[in-house]
Parts: sequence; structure tokens; C-alpha cells
Amino acid sequence: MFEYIILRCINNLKGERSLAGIYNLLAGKRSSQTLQDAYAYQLTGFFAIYKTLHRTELIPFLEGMSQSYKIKIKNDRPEITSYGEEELKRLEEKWEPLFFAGIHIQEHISVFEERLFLYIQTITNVKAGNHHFLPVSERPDILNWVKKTYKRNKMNLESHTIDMYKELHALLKAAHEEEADVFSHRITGAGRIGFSKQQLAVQFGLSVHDVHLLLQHSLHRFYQMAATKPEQWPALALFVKTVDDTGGLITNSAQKTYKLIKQGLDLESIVHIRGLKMSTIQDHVVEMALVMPDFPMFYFINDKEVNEINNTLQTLNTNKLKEIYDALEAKFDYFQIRLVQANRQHNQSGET
Amino acid sequence: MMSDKLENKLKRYFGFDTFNQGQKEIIRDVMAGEDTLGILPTGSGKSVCYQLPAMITDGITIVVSPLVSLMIDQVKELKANGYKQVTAINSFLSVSQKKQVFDQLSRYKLIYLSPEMLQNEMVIRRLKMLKVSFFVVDEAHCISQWGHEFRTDYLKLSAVIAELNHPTVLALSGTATPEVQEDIIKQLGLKRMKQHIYPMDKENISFVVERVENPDEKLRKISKTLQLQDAPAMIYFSSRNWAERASLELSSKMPEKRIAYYHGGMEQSDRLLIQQQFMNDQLDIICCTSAFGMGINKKNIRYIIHFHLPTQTESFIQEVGRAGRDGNHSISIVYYSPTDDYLPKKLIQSELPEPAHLKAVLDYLLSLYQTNAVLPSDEAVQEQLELSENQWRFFKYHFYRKGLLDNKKVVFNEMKWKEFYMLLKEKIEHRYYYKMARFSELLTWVHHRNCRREKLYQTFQDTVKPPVVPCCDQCGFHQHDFSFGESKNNTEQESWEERLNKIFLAGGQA
Ligand SMILES: Nc1ncnc2c1ncn2[C@@H]1O[C@H](COP(=O)(O)OP(=O)(O)OP(=O)(O)O)[C@@H](O)[C@H]1O
Ligand SMILES: [Mg+2]
Ligand SMILES: [Zn+2]
Repeated sequence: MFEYIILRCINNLKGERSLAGIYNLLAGKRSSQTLQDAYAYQLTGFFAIYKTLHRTELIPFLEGMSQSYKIKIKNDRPEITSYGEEELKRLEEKWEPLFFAGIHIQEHISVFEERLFLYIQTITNVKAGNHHFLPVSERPDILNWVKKTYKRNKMNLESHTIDMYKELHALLKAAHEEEADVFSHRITGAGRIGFSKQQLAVQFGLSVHDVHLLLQHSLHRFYQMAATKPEQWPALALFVKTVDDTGGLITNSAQKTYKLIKQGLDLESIVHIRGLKMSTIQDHVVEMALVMPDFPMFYFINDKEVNEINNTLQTLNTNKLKEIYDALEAKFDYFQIRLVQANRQHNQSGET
Repeated sequence: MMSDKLENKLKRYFGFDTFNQGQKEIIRDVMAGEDTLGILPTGSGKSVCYQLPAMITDGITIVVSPLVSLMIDQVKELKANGYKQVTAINSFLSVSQKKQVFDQLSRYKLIYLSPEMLQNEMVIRRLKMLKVSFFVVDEAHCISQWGHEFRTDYLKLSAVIAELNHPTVLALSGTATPEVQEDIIKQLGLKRMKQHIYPMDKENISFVVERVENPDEKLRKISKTLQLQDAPAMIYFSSRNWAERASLELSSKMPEKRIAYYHGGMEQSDRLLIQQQFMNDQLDIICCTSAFGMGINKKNIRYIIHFHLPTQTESFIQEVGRAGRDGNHSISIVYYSPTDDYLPKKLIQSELPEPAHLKAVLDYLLSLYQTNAVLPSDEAVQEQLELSENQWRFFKYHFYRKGLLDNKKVVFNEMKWKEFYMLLKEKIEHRYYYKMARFSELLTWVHHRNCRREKLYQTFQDTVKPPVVPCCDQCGFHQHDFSFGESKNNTEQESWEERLNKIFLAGGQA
């Protein structure tokens, strides 16, 4: 699965982005550039599906792919070869349809995951008469949530457990055998502690990358099922976090910047107050333009300028900033271009 | 009469029938309001020495403990045993979680604190509003720079104790030489402390050192020793890489054994799972770095094997102390090859900042000063300057102490900075030589020709108890002729449906 996803990224990025671009996407580096790329190259599903990936693991993997002629690497930018395209088709047949929805749900996945595994550990242990066990999650918010939820359901623990079993069984039955193997062995229940990713890899003859992605995929799929059809998956719907309004913004840090902007401060003052670099603050602004409805563009650039940049974006039809910058004859700085680009992408994606 | 009552309480709260050596004596003094220093061997039950007084006395007990994971484990264990009035405050809590804890502070009787939290004025202010009966310093050797895990945060403890109006202080450590013991009392700023120092030798551990040529030979010997036995084992490595690599190689040498690795670089969820598998007897052998161990309270570990030596005797004793907590026979084996000398040296270097770092850090501060910026978060600084947590902590402490930093603002004065540079450079060199000397002390033990038990504990105490098991290789113990009994094969496989069935529907059958 890892290879498929990497090939898919390289294919979509058309040689316009470096290895770092792929890495930032998968690891979910929350820069505005990464978010913009995800939209521009139709890779939003993969955003942040591999947060624990190390850059140093990606390099040898790409080199391996290049040695087997699936990709070429020119100036640090990987490009797919025609042989790679064939391979991509084969892998697509094996893996698609995939249900990753990274950019939309990634911030909910880890909560969903920790609740799910701790809750299963809790109900199956209690059912086995075992009230003292060391929890598989240490986050106080998760522990509290599980405690409360368990209390609400303990009256009909037996049927509740069976419901949970039925839903998981049905979903795993519909998944790849590998995915079902990995997910079922990750679970901790009474008398059975779940496997680490490394152990799952050894047990099922997979790479650790594949194990990670198979698990993520189950979670993404379960989450979306439960979130969109709670009446069909009532047991799993328990774990879906009810909305807490973060304004749709992705980073905490960007939210702080946003508050200051709303107070009417200019970017220079914000740089001072927050002790961050100007480029970081600008990243926050681009991030807002990308995800916020009604983003006040006029704070930073007037309508005429927006139109001018927009026209150029349309004619050039590229995401390479340097080209756009040159075409506009350096009349605007990179920040303004990215801002307009982000706003455009936001409008095109039709999000609220 | 009083002691009789204490025993009942021990039974009631912990389910134990009798006190371990030293516990009652320490508890009595603490309850009588005496500042107390307790040195008890690892695994001998130091926690009970403050948990019991905390539970049966009015007011709250604050426990300062250096390792967040250790702290969390203890809280979990207490809660799992039904004691709810306990909580831990550390930097892992989010702002809202911290607020939640602070708003309900009076609900707790036992509060674990990580030392860096004591720098937080708000924390101190909140604590001052409570009635603090006992102030416990766990792993107290961290306060001494001669101890094996010096923590600069610990130096602030004396000020905090004074601010809290001097509650009764209990300082506990499992490994402290007389030199360190003296330093603990001095640094805590206490004039008189009742001292309960118990010998730290373990009567149920046999010691073995084997000299080999190279790492491969170590692996071969380890699998030869463990292959046919039913004996949980921990193998210590000095690097993450080695722990992983050895775990793979040992698995292929002993396919019937369940082997895994554990180190600080793993994802938190994987770490928890591996730790629980080991506790739950779902693993036979764990290949780990020193990140594992502290807080591991598995009773039936039979072998502690050192593939690599730690950097000093105290760490070695502490790691060996994981074995045989059930009181039954256990074995410590060190595999030593001549090239090993070089690894701890590297470790020591990585723990200490280098003079080159010093320059980089000062340059960085200067640039902050020039742009009138405040000091960013610890993580940000560490990343920017590529320093380890320990290294940055060391610098920060001295910056504040010498007035180069004040409330996150840089204070510049050329003369003062020059002086500071020379001073710190010297300090760093000093510590480096000190640590190297401690390492060669441990090497001396490895090369020792007489009883290993006597030599190992020599700097801590005058005599050792006669062991209740074979003593050591020098005293005639041959580990090759020894076995804890036949091993069984535990590696069965389940299909995904079987596993799901067993977990959800087996009706309690493990
Ligand atoms: N009186 C007792 N009788 C039986 N078991 C005890 C007694 N006191 C403590 N124990 C058990 O001994 C084990 C070790 O206790 P504890 O963790 O407090 O040791 P420690 O001295 O703090 O060790 P370390 O040096 O590793 O921190 C625990 O499992 C504890 O429950
Ligand atoms: Mg302890
Ligand atoms: Zn001996």
C-alpha cells in the first residue's frame, strides 16, 4: 500500500514538487504550502495519513523505486516513468477504492483511534470480570471519555459488546484480508494485548509502512461510516467526536494569529507579539485563506490586485510560484500570490 | 500498639501482611514529623513509604519524581487498585487538562509533580493554598551533581520547600553513595535529617561477566543461554539501533521465543503495548535501552543481560534491580568485549553539551537580544540548536542562575558573558572527566578477579549479606550448567476472525 500511495503522489505531482513535498503531505506538516499542494494535485485524501514517517525513511524508499525504473529523480524531483505508470495501474487494481480522507478528518482520527481501542479493552475486560488493567491509552481526556461512556452503557454490556463485534466483523469482512489481519491483532482485549506495528509486520510478512497505512485505512473508513451513517453503525458512532468548533483552522498557532488579526493588528506587530518569524505568520494567513469561509482578503490585498493575480493563475495553469511571480513581473510578492492562490483553491473546493 | 495499627493499615490499603525491611522505620519517622532520608534498594517498596502516610494523614502529600512515565505508571497503578485521590501534574497535560486538575486540587491527597512544574509560579501559588503535610523527593540522587542522573530542576527544591512553609520532607533513593547522600541533605537545605540507609545488595541475584570477542558472539551466547529455558529476560543496549537489530537477530535464532524491542524512539502506543505484553507474560525477551526499566514492576524477570554496559555503577545496580522482585533466584550477565569501552564514552558525550554548543547557544541568545525577541519554547530551542533535552536543560539552568536570562528575556553585558563563557567551558570539561572516571570504575568491576558481589557494592556499604543463591562466577557459579527449566513454545497464530471472536465473545476465557 505504501508503494501505491507514493507512486500515486509522484504521478499526481507531475515532477513539480520535491521529495520534501511528498513527505510534508504524508506527515501532515501543516504549512500552507502543503495544504495548497494537496488541493492543487488532488491528494487531499493522503494528507497527514503518516504523521510518524521520518524523512530519512522516505529517501531510501524512493531510491529503491528509482533503481527499479518506476520513477526518475531529476533535481530532487521524482517523476513517474512509463513502467511506473503500468505498476501504478496494477497497484490501483489491487488497492482501490481507498477511503482515505486526510484533509477532512485527520484531526479526528487519533481521538477516534484511542477511544476505540481503549473502549474495547475496557468492555471486554469488564465482561471477563477483570476490573483492574493498565489502559492502552494515557491521555487523560481519552480516559475520562471512556470512563463516562462505559458508565452509560454498562447496563447492557453484553448486547453492547456483541453490537460492537458485529459492526467490526462486517467492516473487516469487507476489507482486504491483510487489513482485517492487522486491525484485529492491534486490538487489546481481555488477556490479549495488541501487537505493536513492528510485530504486526513480522507476523504478517508486511513492511511497517504497510502496517501503519492499513491501520490508518481501517480507521479512516470506520470513521467515515460512523460519522455519515450513525444509524447504521451505532456502536462505532460512539467514538466520533462531536464538533468542537476550532473554526476549521488547522493549527493552534494559526488560530492565535487569527485572533490578533481580528483585533486589528498588522502582521509586523503580530511578529513582535508572538516572537515568530514573518514567514511563519504569513503561512498562518495563507492557511486561513485556504480553509476559512469569508476570509477577509481585503486586509491584505485589494480586489483589483486579486483579479490581476487570478487572471495570471488561470492563464498559466501551474502551481509553480516562481513562474507565476515572473509572469507578474515581480509586481507582487510571493505572499500575495500564495494568498490569492489559496483563496481560489478554497472557492474551488467548495468547502464551507 | 502504634506499629500494630500501621500493619493493619498496610493490609487495608495495599493488601500486604508485613512491611519490607526499612518501610516501617521510615514511615514512623515521617509520621512523627521528622525530615527523613531513606536509601533502600531498588524494588524494595519505597513508594509505600510515602503512599501509606499520605493515605492516613490529613493534608496532602506532594511527590516530586523525575520521570514522567514513572509517575504516570504509579498513578495508574494506584487507581487500578481503587485509590482515586491521586493525580499527576506534568508538562504532558494540555492547558485545559491542567486547569481541570488545578480546579479540583483539593480533591486529591497524593499529587505527583514533575520537577519542571515547580518553576511555574502558578503551581506554587496553588499549592500554597493547600495544607501540605509531606513533601517527598523521589529518586533524590537527582539533586546531586555527583549522582548518576543530575537534574538541574531538582536544585530548586529547597526554595520550594521553604515557600511551602516547610512540610515534613522525605527524600528517597535506591542508589546513592555516601558522597551523594551527604549532598542530598546539603542541597535540600535541611540541617537535620533522620537517616535510614539500608544495604542495597540483593541476596537472590547471581552475577556473571563473560568476555567475548565481538557482538555476534554475544548474540550467539545469549540465544544459547535463553533458548531452552522458561525465563523472562531483559537485555540492555546502549543504542536504539542495537536494540532493534538484536531483537531481529535473536528472533531468527530462536523462532520459538517471543521477542520484542523497546526504546524511547518508538510511538507511544507501541511502547505501551510492548510494555503490557511483557508484564502480561506475552513476551519472553525484551531488548531495550535504559528508557525501559524505570517503573517496570514485573515480578518474575529471571535474567538481566547487559549487551552493553551503562555509564556507571549506580545505573548498573538500578537496572539489575529489575530482576527477581518475587524474591526468587535471578541472574545478571554482562557480556563484555574490548571494543565496548567506546560506546559509553559516546553516550557520555551525548549527555553533556560540548564547548562548540556553548558558542552556538550564546550566539543564539545574542540574536534574540538584538531582535528584542523572547525565548521560544524548549522544544523550539532544542530543535533550532540541535541539542538534546539534557543539554538544553543544563544551559538554561546556568543562564538563569547567572542572570543571562531573566523571565524569558536576554540580558546582555559583554564582560559578564565572557566570564560566563570561560566558567561554563570549565564546568563542562570537569563533568566530562568526572563521568569518565565513573565509567572506568565500572570497568574495574568488569575486570575484577575476586567476588563480584563484594566489589559491586563496595562504594555503597562495608559488607554484603551472604547470598541465598549461587554468588557469582568468581565464586564458582557456572551459568552454562544452570537452567530455570524447560521452555514451552508459545507462538501460535490466529486468523482475524478467531481473534475477534476470542476478544469479544469468549465470555472471559483468556
Ligand atoms: N510490604 C510489602 N510487601 C510486599 N510487597 C511490597 C511491599 N511493599 C512494596 N511491595 C511491592 O514491591 C514492589 C516494588 O515497589 P516500589 O516500586 O515502591 O519499589 P521502589 O523501591 O520504589 O523501586 P525503584 O527503585 O525501582 O523505584 C511493588 O510491586 C510493591 O507493590
Ligand atoms: Mg520508586
Ligand atoms: Zn561472589
